[in-house]
Parts: sequence; C-alpha cells; structure tokens
Amino acid sequence: MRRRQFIKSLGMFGGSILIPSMMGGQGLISSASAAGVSSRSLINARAMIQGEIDYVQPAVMPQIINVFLYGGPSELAGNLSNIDDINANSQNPYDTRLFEGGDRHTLNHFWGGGGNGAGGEIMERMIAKGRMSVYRTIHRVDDDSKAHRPSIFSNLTGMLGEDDMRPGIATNIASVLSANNVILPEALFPFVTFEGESVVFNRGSGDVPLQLRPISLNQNLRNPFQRPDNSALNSESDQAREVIDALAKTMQANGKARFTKAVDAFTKRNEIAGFIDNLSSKLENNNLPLDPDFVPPADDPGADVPELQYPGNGFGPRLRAAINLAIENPDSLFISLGNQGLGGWDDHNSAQDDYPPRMRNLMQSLEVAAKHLEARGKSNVVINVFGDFGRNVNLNNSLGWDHGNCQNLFTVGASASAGESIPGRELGKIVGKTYRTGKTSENRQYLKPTDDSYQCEPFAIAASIYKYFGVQNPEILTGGYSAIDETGSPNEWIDPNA
Amino acid sequence: MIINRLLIIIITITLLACKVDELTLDSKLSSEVTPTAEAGALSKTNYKNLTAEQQYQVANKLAGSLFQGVPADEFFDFDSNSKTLKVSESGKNFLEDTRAQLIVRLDNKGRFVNAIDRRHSFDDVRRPTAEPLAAIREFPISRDMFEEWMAYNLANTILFSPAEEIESANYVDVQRIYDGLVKAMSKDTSIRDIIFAHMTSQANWRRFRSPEDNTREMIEIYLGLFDRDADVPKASIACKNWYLSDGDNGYELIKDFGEENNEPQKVLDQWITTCEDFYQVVANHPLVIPRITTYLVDRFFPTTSSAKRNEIVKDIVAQNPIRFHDVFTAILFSEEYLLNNEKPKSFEEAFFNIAQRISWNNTSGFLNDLTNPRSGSPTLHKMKQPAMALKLGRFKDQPMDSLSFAYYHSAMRERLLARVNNNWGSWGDDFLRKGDIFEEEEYINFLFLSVLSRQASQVELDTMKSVFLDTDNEDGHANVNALTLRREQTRIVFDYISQLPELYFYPSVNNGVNQ
Repeated sequence: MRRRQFIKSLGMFGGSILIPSMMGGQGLISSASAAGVSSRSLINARAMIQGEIDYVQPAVMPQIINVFLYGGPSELAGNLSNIDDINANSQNPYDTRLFEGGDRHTLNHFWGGGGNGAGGEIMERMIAKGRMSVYRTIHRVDDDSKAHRPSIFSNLTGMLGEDDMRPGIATNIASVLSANNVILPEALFPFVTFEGESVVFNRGSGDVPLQLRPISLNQNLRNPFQRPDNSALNSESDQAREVIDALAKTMQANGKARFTKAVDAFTKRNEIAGFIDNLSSKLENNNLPLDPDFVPPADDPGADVPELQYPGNGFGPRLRAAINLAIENPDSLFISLGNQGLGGWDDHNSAQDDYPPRMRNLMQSLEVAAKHLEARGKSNVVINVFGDFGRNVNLNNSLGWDHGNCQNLFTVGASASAGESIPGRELGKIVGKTYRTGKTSENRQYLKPTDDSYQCEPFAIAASIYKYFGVQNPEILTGGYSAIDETGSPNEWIDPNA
Repeated sequence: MIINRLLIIIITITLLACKVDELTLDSKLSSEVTPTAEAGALSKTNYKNLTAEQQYQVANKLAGSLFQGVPADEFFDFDSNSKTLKVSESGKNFLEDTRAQLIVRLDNKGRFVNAIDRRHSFDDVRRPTAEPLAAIREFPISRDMFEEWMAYNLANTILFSPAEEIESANYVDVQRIYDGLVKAMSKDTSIRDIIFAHMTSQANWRRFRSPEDNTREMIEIYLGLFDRDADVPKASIACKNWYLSDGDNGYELIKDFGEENNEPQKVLDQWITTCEDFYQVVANHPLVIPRITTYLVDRFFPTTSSAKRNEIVKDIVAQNPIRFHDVFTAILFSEEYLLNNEKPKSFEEAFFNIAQRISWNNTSGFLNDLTNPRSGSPTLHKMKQPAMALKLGRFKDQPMDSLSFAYYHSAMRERLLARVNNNWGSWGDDFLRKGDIFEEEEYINFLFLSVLSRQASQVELDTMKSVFLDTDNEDGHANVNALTLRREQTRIVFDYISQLPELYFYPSVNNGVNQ
C-alpha cells in the first residue's frame, strides 16, 4: 500500500484521531472511542500500522539535531570540484583564488580561505577525523520545485505532496515510537525546537499527545516561563495563588479542544520553567570539555589545553544550547534548529561577500559541536545540515545565485573514538560527483550528479532518520524513497596523508 | 391650524434633510463592495437579535481587529436599574457607526499627530516600525486610522513586507513602503496600481534581489502561481538589465537602459520585452484580485475550512473590489467573521483592545521597547512576529509555540493586566473609579466584561470572592482604603484572566467560550 493511501485510510477514522490511533501506548484510544469510532476500526487501524511499519527498537537510540538552512544554501562551499568550468561559463567572474590550485580551493574541493573563507579547511579536518560526511548529490528529480515553500514542506515532511496538513518528520517519529511504546511516559521533552514553530513538527490532520508535542526554548536558555509574583496575591499560606491557579487550570481543561496550543503552553509552563532552571544550573557548573585536537605551539610545548569554545554569534550559541540539551537530557530525541534571525541562505545577490562568513561560522560551530559530543561519549547524536535546495552556479548580475537543485547534506557527529555509533552510519566520507549543466552566460546553470555518481532525493534524509530510530522500511513514510546508503556509497575523499 | 401646518412643514423639511444626509452617507457606503452570500455583512437585525453580551463580543471583535477597544461603560448602560445588561444607544449602533467612521477623514488630524509626539518617544533609526502603532493607537476610528491599520497589516505580509531582517534592507525601506501604502490608499489608488508601484520600487528589489528571484516571487506572491518555473527564466531575461548593487554601493536598484532586453519573451501567455512590461502583465493579471482576496481571507479565517474560505473569497471577488479598503471592509464586517470565526488574536489585537478598554496609559517608551529587537522585554521579536521585518511576512497565525506564547502571556499578564512589571504603562484609578457604582459581585463582572467580553461564571465569582476575603484579611489589608482594595482585587482578577486561553483567541460568538 502506498503511503498516501495508507494515511488516507487512517483518515476514515476521523481526522482528530488519526495520530491517536497510532499512539497505542498513550491511552488515547479511549478518547477515540468516545468520538464514536467503532472498536473494530480502531483495532484495524492499529493492526494496519503495526503491519505496515516494520519496527525494531535500535540498540543505540539516536538523538537528532536537525539544522535546516532556510532559503536554500549554495552547495559551493562544500563542492568546488567544477569551479573552473563554472567560472568559464558564468555571466560574472568568480574570485580567482577559488579555482583549482588557488589558495581558497582545498584538496577535497572545499571553499577554503581560512578566516576569509567558507570553512573549507574545517571541513577537511572534520572528514579526516571522522566527524563528518558530505553528500554532494542530494538531487531533486521528482516534482522538482524551485519555490521555497513547497521545497521546505517536502524536505521537512520527508515526502512530496501539496497537502499542508501532512505530518512533519518529527511527528512521524513520535507516532512510530509511541505506537511501539518506546517513549516512556516519564520522558521529558523528547521534541524540542530552538526555532519556534517548524514544519518538521507539523501535526498533520491528527492529534499528538501533549508529552510528544515540541517545546520551544531560547538558545540562551532564558526563562520567560517563570511567572513573577503578583503582590496582590501574596499571602503567608500561598493559598490565594493556588486557588486562582487551580481554577485557571480547570478552565483551561474545559477549553482544550478549541484553544489547544494555548492550553498546551499553560500546561507545560511549570514543567518547562523547572526544566530550564535545572538545566541552566547544571551548565553553570559544567565547563566545556578540553579541545582534543589541541597541539601546543612549538615555542610553548607546555601550554594548557584550552576548553572548547563555540563561536559567540551565528550558529554558535544555538548549537551549544542544542548539544548541551542532548547531553544533559537524553530524552530529547529530536531537536530542531533553523536559521531564523541568523541570516537566510537565499543568496540572490552579493553572494561572494555574504555567503562565506556565514558558512564559516556554521562549520566552526559544527566542529566544536562534534568535539563536544566526542568528549562526552555521545556517539548517538546525529547533526544533519541541509536546506530547501541548492543554487544556480552562475553568478547573476546582482552577483548572486538563484534557485538551483543539487544540494549538500552535511552530517556530523562524534568520531568513532566516542564509542558505539548508530548501525549503518558512516562518517569521514565525501559522496557524489557533479558536473555543470546549462548554457554559457545564461542564468540557469547548476550542478547535477554525473552518470556514475551516487545520488538521492532530499527525502532520503528523512528515510535515514526513520531508519536510525528503528523503522526497517522507511519507504512507507516517505512515499517510496529509501534511506541514504551510507556504507555502500563510494567515498570520493582524498586522504591528504596518502 | 396654520401653526399645525407650519409644524408639519418644519417637521417634513427636517425629515427630508435627515434623509438627504443619510442618502449622502449611504451613497458613500454604497460605493463599497457589498457581498451578499458567504461574505455577507452582519445585518443590523441579526446584530440586535444577539444577547447584550454577544453584541459586546462582536463589537470588540471588530474593534480589536482594528487594534481598538470598546470600554464596557461606553457600550452598556450601567446607570439603568436593570439587573440584566442593557446595551446603550452607541452600543446598538456600533457596527454601522464604525463602518461609517472608516470612510470619514479626521478634520483635526494635526491634533492627534501632536498627541503622538507628546506621548511617544522613538529611537531615531527604528522609528518606522513603532510609529505606525502609535498612529493607530492615537487616531480615533476614522479613514485616517484605517489607512494606517491597513498599511501596517499589509506591510506585515508577504505582499509588501520591507524585510528589514535581511542584509540588503533597512528601516528606510520600512518607512518608504509603509508611507507609500498609506499615501496610495489615501488617494483611493487601486490594488493593481499599488502592486505595480511596489514591484518597480527599490524596496522590492532589496527584498528580491535578482531578475530571476524577483520575477519568480512576483508570480508567486501576486498571482499565487508556484508552478510556472518555465516562465521564470524568460521573465528574468526581460528584467536582465535591472539589478541590485552590492553592499559597498548601498544596495541600489540599477536599471541599465543600455542593456535593456529587446527580444520578445512569452511570459504568462503574453509577449513582453522589458521589465516594466512584465510588471504590467502581473499587475493587470486576472488572478491578482482573487489572489489578494484569498491571501487576506486566509489570514483572517485561519481555522475556517478551506471550502468555506473559498466561498468567502468568491463572494468578495464577485463584487469586483478595486481598493484594499473594499476587501478589508468586506472581511471585517462579514457575519462569518464577526459571529462564526475563531482565531488566535495577534498580540496587537489582544493588547491594544484591552488597553483601551481598561484605560491603560503607556509610558513614552512603550512602543519603542515593544519593537526593539534588543530589549529584554517580551517584544514582538520574541513573540516571533516582529513588525515589518520578516522577509516572507509574518506567520498567518500568532505563533503559539511554548516560547513565543510564554512571551505573549508575560506581556499580557505583567505589562498590561496584573501590573507586575510596569515599564510599559499601567491602568489606573480612572479605570477603578468606573467601578465605584458596583457592589463586589457586580464589580467582578465588570472586570470580566472589560477584558473577556463576558460576565464571570458562578464558580469564578465564588472563587474571586473567597480569594478577596482571604487577602483582605491579611495583616494590613483590613486598614487600606477602598480604592486600594479595589486596585488589589482588580490585580487578582486580571491575574486569573491572564491564564485563560480565551483571552488569546476570538471564540465564535455563536458557540460561546466553553463549548
């Protein structure tokens, strides 16, 4: 059964119980029954789900940090392999230092340049150390859209379609894990966002139990959830405050169906407030680990090993918060970061000026994150970085890149030294070969995979995530797209020591 | 007899005069679109058939949507001896009075501009994002206020956002776009002409910054076509001589007429050559009015079924709206919006509505702080709805994720209602004095009406009274004066109300709150 039919068939039980009918362990079947759906239908729904999705609880439960680069990031920082040809055909010229042999073109065709580059040297290091793999050929073929909205929707829901109500990747994970009783009732905040609302948490047309709904946190772990005292309610016994709060809770419960989001927010407020306080005080007392790659300078061989340091701006604080959360709260299974407020990636103009520092900041932050995970033995954390789509490689007359197709996936984590990792996962690779296509001096020129290159659709990223969580047939959830072949795909990496 | 005849003549003349005035007003009104089906206006009869409380809910739904508020003591006749709520004359005529006021200019606008200068202070650079809210707050309901409100709404959508958040745009673009909209609407400029002027502006190119980007987005934004990928390269050829300079050169829109395209391109089934040709095709496209209407209907009816929204759009479009005023008025006065629609309130709708109802006075720095991305207050940025900043416009719904909502709630509770932190402003004794005529239970109901547009339930009354008793009996409280006591009681009731989800939503008036 194709996934669309599968989901549609569940819809016959009523939109409001679509997801609850999948949440076998959450006591929601009773509420579905109250909705007047026959028990036979509910039994059938559960049977269908359990029959369709082949689930095996993984030996290593992953924690995913999803970094979505809204706007569609250019792939060039991670793939300058065609730059000479690109420049020869571009409407406007590239910086000559990017050409092969130039001082901003690294061995493995990354966009280097040190403090002025796009993080290429960092990428080289991370791959050499087994902390990252780069997939250069995440290539959209089916229903190839170059519009932001459909691309964001399909990449963060893991499937094609026009229905804005389809569930996001995180919601699907919640459904599957809950249906298989993997998430314990006492698990604290399994789904977290540092970017506010995101399509990746789309609920779809169903309902998601409160425990599995995302909470949003501030990257600095600020705590607006605390409620300052109202002196008018001060009393020695605190009874007045309790009485008011109790009545408010009752009224909130009465309005639940109609004001769900506000009710959720009120219900979780206390819990979140306490959680942040707890987390903040833990972190205050914990220094960051020492830099495992530190090499003392020749003139100071006894120099102290410095602590790791995240960049103080851009992605640094947000990744720091996400990594600390993943370490201190293993219950947090899916953490979403976007770049809202951090500069979009929609580089239609002035690209050679604006794009490199942003990319460099991202790579600096990712490198520290990987080392941080390594030092804490967190081999189960996966950081995925991708966006709407790649970009044209022609420099247009505003000296930018318009919407393209082929994009990179940067997947980051602790190296093997951190311990047993997720089965089937492999870091330290560069996968994919590309060529330029399009007419000379025309705008629409972009990269495509060569005929002999590994390639996959963006939905393969979602399929890989589902697989990490134990779904053996993720195609069911992506409409036929399989996971990335991490171990079987050819490695194009050039070892600098070889 | 002669006196009687004279009287009759005088009365007749008077009546005729009234009729002429009404006709004048009616003829002005009749130039507006008047949908008759799904978007049909809430009639006077249907409004009057609502209960007093429901009429008040409708009035504040309308007023709140305009960032205004109708105080309870203006809407109800509290002086009457009746035990049930009695709607005052102004309350009974609220809908048609408001509709009439929205097309009448202030004849003393300068005075209200003075009030803005005296009551608000702004950061010089960020002024353009705060000043519109000051204008909306200080102007009485009028055409002038409505134009400011429409411009503020439009500049917060993907249709006209100045995208201040991106590198190539700045507060000057905010000013230009906002002022441009207000000015155009003051001249009754058509939707199509406003769109054309915007598309050809530098501010638009600072948001969508290359020929391909700009042409693609114009097709998507103003026509709702997301699958015209084949048209985009051809449109970008027509616009090939327009481009944005880099940051060092000030992100200026350059039109290189020496490089203008002269090869005809077929775009959207029409032949064009230049960039202006392209923009003309878009602005004059038959899809523009349905697209704009659809977009605005989607924003105001986010929880309504798509089938129903389509019917509303169809009804409005069938009336051939020309101006933004036509579309907004049709939406706001529709029975569907006023009676049936449920939606989260935007921060502005909730805060400014209640502020006016409880005589909340702002500090001079309030709006500057609210719109300051670096402030430690619960700002619009922290609620994920910064003013006129987001490249793709604000989310259609007020974000209700836990973090955004925490800031929203904090602003409502601490800065507006319970007076916990006060650097924005406060309600004061003038509001409390309105309750002097009430006994305790009546006063509690007055507070509920003033904020939630409903009276308290029995459980709520009993609970509030028991808490009053509890706190009144605390040491020191027994000796305070009546006004102070009322102040503390108000803070208690408002604190409670701040925790009710209905405060943050417009419930359906027909369904009531707790159904």
